[in-house]
Amino acid sequence: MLKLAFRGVTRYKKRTIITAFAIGIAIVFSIFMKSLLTGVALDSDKNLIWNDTSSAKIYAPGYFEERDYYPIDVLITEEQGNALEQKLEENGFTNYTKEFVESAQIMFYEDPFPTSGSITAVLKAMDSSNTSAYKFEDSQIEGDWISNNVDGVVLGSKLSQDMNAEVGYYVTIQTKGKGGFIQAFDIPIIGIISTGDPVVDASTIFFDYNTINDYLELDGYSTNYSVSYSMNIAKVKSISDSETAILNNLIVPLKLEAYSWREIADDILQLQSSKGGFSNIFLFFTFFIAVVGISNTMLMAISERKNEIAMLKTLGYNNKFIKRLFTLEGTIIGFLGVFCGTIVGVLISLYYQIEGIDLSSFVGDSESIGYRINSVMHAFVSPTQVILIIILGLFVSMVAAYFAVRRTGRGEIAEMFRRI
Amino acid sequence: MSLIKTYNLSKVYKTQSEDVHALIDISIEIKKGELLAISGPSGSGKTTLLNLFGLLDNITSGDIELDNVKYSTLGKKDKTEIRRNMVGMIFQSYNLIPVLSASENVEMALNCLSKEQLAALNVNNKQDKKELCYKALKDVGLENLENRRPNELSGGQQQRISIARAIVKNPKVLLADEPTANLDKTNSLHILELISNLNETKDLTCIYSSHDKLVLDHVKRIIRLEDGRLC
Repeated sequence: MLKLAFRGVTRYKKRTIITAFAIGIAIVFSIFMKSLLTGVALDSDKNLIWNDTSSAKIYAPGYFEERDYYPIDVLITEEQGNALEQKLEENGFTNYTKEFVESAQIMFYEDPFPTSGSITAVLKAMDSSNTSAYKFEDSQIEGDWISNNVDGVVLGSKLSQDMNAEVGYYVTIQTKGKGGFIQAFDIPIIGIISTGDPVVDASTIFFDYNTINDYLELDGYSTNYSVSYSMNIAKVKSISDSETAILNNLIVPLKLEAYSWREIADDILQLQSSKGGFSNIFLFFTFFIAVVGISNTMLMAISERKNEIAMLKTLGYNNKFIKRLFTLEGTIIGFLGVFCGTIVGVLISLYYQIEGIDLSSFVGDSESIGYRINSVMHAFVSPTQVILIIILGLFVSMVAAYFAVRRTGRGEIAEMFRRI
Repeated sequence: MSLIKTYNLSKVYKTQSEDVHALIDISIEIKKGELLAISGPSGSGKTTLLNLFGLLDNITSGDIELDNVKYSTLGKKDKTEIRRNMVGMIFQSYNLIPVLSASENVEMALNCLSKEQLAALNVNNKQDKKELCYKALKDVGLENLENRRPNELSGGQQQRISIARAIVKNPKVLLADEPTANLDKTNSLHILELISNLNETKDLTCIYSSHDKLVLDHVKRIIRLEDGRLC
C-alpha cells in the first residue's frame, strides 16, 4: 500500500508540490508566529521580572489594591521592615530590596534643557546597597547607577529622551512625603538607564532609598519589599506560586502580604493571553487553507482515478483499503509539506531569535502592542511547540484526506466504470 | 458439471424518466472449462450479464450460482471475497494502474489475498509471489517486459498484462468484456489464442462478452442476447 501511495503522490508532481507548498507555508507561518509570540512573551516576562515586579512584592495590607494610586498612608514601618528583613534572611530569601514608590512630577527648565516642561513619572527609591531583587546590572547605563548617599536621580532612557536630558543636568522633583505633604527638591541627573522594558524606561526615575528617606522624611518607612526567587525566568514561573505562599505564611505575624509577579502584572498577562488567543485564530485559518488544499487535491485525485478504484474493487480490494490508500497519499503530501515547512520555519525563527525583528516602523510605540518589550522582537524556538505543530500538521493532513475520501468506493463497481 | 447457473435473472436500471430492462428472465448454465461468448448487438445486455457474473453490479431479481454459491445469499464481504478468489476479469480498456510496472500490476491481484489463500497458490513469501507473477507474465509471453510501465507497452501487451493479472490468482472463471475492441486484428488474434490456450491447458472457464466475429470464431458456444432476452 505504501508503495502504491508513494507512486500515487508522484504521479501528479506539480499538484503534489503545490499542495505540499500550501501546507508548508502553513507550517512555516505557524512555527514562526508561535516562536515570535513565545519569544516576545518570554522577553516581556523577563523585563517585567528583572526590572519591575521582581518575583514577588510584600506590601502592608491594603496597599496592593490601591497600588495604582500610590497610597502614602499604607506603608511598611521601619520596625516591620527590619523584622521582615530578618525573616527573609533566616528563611533563605536573601535577594530582596527595600523600596519606596510614589508618583512624582519632574520639572525641567530651559538652559540647560532645550525647553521647559514637566513630566509625570514613577519615583522608585531602592536600597542601593541591596538591589538584588532586580537585574539592573544587565542594563545599559550612561553615567552612574544609584549609590548610597550620592545625591542624584537616574532617569529611564525614554524619559530622558523626551526631556532631552543629559547626565549632570538638574531637575526639580515634586512628590508626596510621609503623611502626604508635598515636597519639591532640585537634584542632578547622575545616570540614564536603558533596561529594555519600555514602561520602566519611559516613566521611572530611580533614587537611592536613603536620599529619598531624607527628602520625604520617611523615617525608614517603605511602600514595599521586592523579593527575587531566582533570575532564571523559567524557574521563577514554575515556583512563583508556591514560593509566594511560603512567603505569605512567613509574614503573617508581621501583618504584611506577599503577591507574586503574576498577581502584580495580572492586567499585562491577560492582555498577552488574549493576543496568544488571537494568534491561534490566525493559525486556525492558516491550517484551514491547508485543509482545503489537501481536500481539493484528494478529491481531484479520486475523481481522476475512479477507473483504478473500480479496478481495485474488481480485484477484490475492499473500501477500507481504498480509503486507507488515499488517506495515506494525503498524509504523504502533508508529510512533505510539514517536513519542508518545519525546516524553513525553524531556520527563519532561529534567524530572528538571533537577529530580532525591528517592528518599530509598524507598531510604533512598543507599549501599544501590549508586551513589555522594546520594538526589537526576538523569536524563541521551542522544541515542544515545533513538535506540536508537526503533529498538528500531520493530523490535519490525514483528517483532510480522510474526509475527502470517506465516500470513495461506495456504490456498485459497474456504475463506477460507467461514470468514467 | 456446471460452474455458473442463472435463475430467471433480471436487471433493471432505474433512470429518472423510465426503467431500463437490461436483462429479462435469463436462465442459463455454463459448464466448468467452457469457452463461450455472450453475443448480441449494442445494448443487448451482454456486458450487464458479465458484470453480474463478476459481482460488479446488483441483481434486480432472480439469482446466480457460481460454484454452488448463490449470490443472493452473499453479504458485501462475501462478494468481495468471491471477486478476490474466484473471478478474474479483463476489460476493453485494460484498466492497468499506470504508475506500476507490468509485474507490480500483476502482483496487485495477489496483494489482497489472505495468507491462507496465498498458501493455496504455493506463495509463502515475497520471492514466491514474484515468481508466480513472473510465471503469469511468462504464460502471456511478457516475461521480458516485467519492469515496463503500461505507457511503455502496446495495447496488445497491456491487454496481456491484464490477462496475467486476472489469471495469476488461479480463478475459477475468466470474464472478458470486449477484450479485443481496442486492438488490431493481429493483436486480437494473439489475445484470443492466448485465452483459448489458457482454457485448454488450465481448464479455465472463459466467458467473453463481444459481438466481434473474431471472438465468436474462437469460442465453442455462443449465448445470444437481444433486448435483454435470450434469443
